[in-house]
Amino acid sequence: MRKGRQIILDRVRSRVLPDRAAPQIDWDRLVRYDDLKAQFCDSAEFVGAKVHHVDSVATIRRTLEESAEYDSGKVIASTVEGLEGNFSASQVQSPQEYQSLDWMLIRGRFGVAENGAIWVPADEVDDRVQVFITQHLVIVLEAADLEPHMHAAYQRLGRFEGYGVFVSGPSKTADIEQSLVLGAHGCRTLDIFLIGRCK
Amino acid sequence: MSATVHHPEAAKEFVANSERMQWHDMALWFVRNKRDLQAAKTPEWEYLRELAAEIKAHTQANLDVYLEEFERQAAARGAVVHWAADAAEHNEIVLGILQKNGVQRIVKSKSMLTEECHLNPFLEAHGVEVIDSDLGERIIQMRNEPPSHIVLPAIHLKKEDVGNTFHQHLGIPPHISDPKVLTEVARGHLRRKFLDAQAGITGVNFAIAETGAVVVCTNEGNADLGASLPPIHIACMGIEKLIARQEDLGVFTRLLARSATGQPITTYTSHFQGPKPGGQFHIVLVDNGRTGIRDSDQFREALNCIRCGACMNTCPVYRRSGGHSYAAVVPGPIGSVLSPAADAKQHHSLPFACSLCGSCTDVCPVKIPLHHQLLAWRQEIARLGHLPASKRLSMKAASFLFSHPRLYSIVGSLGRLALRMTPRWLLYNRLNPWGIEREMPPAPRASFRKWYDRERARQNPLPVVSSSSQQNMETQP
Ligand code: SF4
Repeated sequence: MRKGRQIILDRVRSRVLPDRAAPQIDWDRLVRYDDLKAQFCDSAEFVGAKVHHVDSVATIRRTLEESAEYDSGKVIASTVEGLEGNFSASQVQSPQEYQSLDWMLIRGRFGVAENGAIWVPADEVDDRVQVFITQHLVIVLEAADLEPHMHAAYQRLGRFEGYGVFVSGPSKTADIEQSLVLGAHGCRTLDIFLIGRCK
Repeated sequence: MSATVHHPEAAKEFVANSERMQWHDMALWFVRNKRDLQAAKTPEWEYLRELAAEIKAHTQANLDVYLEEFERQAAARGAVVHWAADAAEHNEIVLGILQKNGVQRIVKSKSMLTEECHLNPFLEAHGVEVIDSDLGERIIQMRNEPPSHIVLPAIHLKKEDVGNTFHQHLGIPPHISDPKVLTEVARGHLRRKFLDAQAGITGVNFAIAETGAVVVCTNEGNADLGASLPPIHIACMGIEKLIARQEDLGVFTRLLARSATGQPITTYTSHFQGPKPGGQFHIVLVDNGRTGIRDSDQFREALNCIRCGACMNTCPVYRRSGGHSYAAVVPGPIGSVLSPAADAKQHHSLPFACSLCGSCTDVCPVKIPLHHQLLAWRQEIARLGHLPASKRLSMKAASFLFSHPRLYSIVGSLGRLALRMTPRWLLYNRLNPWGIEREMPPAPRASFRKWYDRERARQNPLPVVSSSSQQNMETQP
């Protein structure tokens, strides 16, 4: 194991390249959006998500129950406070046990206006596999928590521990003749609930 | 090592089916268009490309420092970092991890590196079941074919082919060709494989030195399921995937998917820092020729590549000859730069599978001067003596002509005459592969130079005083 390490480092060090400074981003040259919320909604819908505007968590269930796919008889897990599911993660021994999940309801930390992506760190869920294995995903997001672009997103993130993922729309593939199909291996649908107003 | 491959020969079969070739051409052009729309919607696009190239150049200049920092940070978060000087060492490391943990079934997400190292056949020879989990890759794995594109591995196939393949391998009824139905079938089939796997292997899009994070981008969610269901995750990466800072991801996540498929970002951008609770996380850093490319002032920037595939989608040769004609792990313009670096003799024809139109260079999000590098490879291949006779002789003649302008202009007028009079057998013979499937245009009566002078004289109200102004009058119809 040590062998490869030494060989690679020796090879790299045997050729010294003139230094090139790491660039500093000039934020004045980056895109600006007048209306972050409108831009976020446009982007999220472009990537196949459905966006709902609500005043509070309390109204989310009612909206969900109106949707054709949703059925409270199905397996529903939630890590959103005030939005209970019928599947308890406390008994779960292995990630494979989440395979029965129909709906997973989680909170996102913040959204990105330019691309509809939402940051979901591992501590928003019981097990990170929940984000991917569920048939349908619901992400609850405060409209005040929107960033314009990925530069701002990473600045906001700073150092974080463990795992995290940006989710932009439902899983998809175009591997068969370039026809877009939603629901590849991850969720088939993504509903985003935006709460309240923008900053 | 495989035998030397001659691109025009290898493209024959693909080109022979003209309907399919045209579909392939249009399908990729469609992806190229989607990329253009996204680039146009991003006002700072050119600035992002510059930043990306600078970040990569900075990382290359300090590669040893960042490799060690990455190792330190990743280890501090609980990952095990392995180093492999070449493909054989990489494969041994992966097999070692699997054997130590008694793993017999794995799922793998897309990784051009593991293709390059021929990991699948190696593991299979040691009794490990390897299931490629990207839909396109799974399809071609069943068909026992290599990928024909780095982002769209099954772009050479039609939906009927996929239906047939699933009929044969998954037992679905014959003649199903609806992409929705076929995707659903694959979803069910692969779900079982994900649940059953004992380890997941993924590629790596970016690795961050300052945090020890590995970032994987997919649309299907296959890498995430493969890295989250089984207890062991192995991430395999070329050392050029390293970047210095987390903030650099802001630049690359904006460029990658827009360039690749015209999406503003991939569906999932996963950041792995250490293992999941109770799991194992291994990272394998692989050289396999990359330090050699880094040594070369001429070709170093090829290591900037983020494998977006944009240069393939835009390439007129790739679109009309198909990925398999390159007989290389990475096809298209970037493959034609990287493959000869691995084996110049075997891949000698690839830098010539190019019209030097420069479109690849224009779209490349990390500003690799692809067509300049392809031209440089042609010279390099000639210098190494790998040119076939047909090219060697004609190139010698051409360079002699180009350095003798007077002779060039005489030969030019003879050529135009010849083009009108040459019998077909002389153009369409075995020494001239460009004659295949191509018709010569009708020869113009006047040379470009004469035409240019004439047009200039027409549009310019002032008398043009130049040595050729006399000729203007002569050729006026
Ligand atoms: S060379 Fe540039 S355009 Fe081609 S795949 Fe690599 S990054 Fe993309």
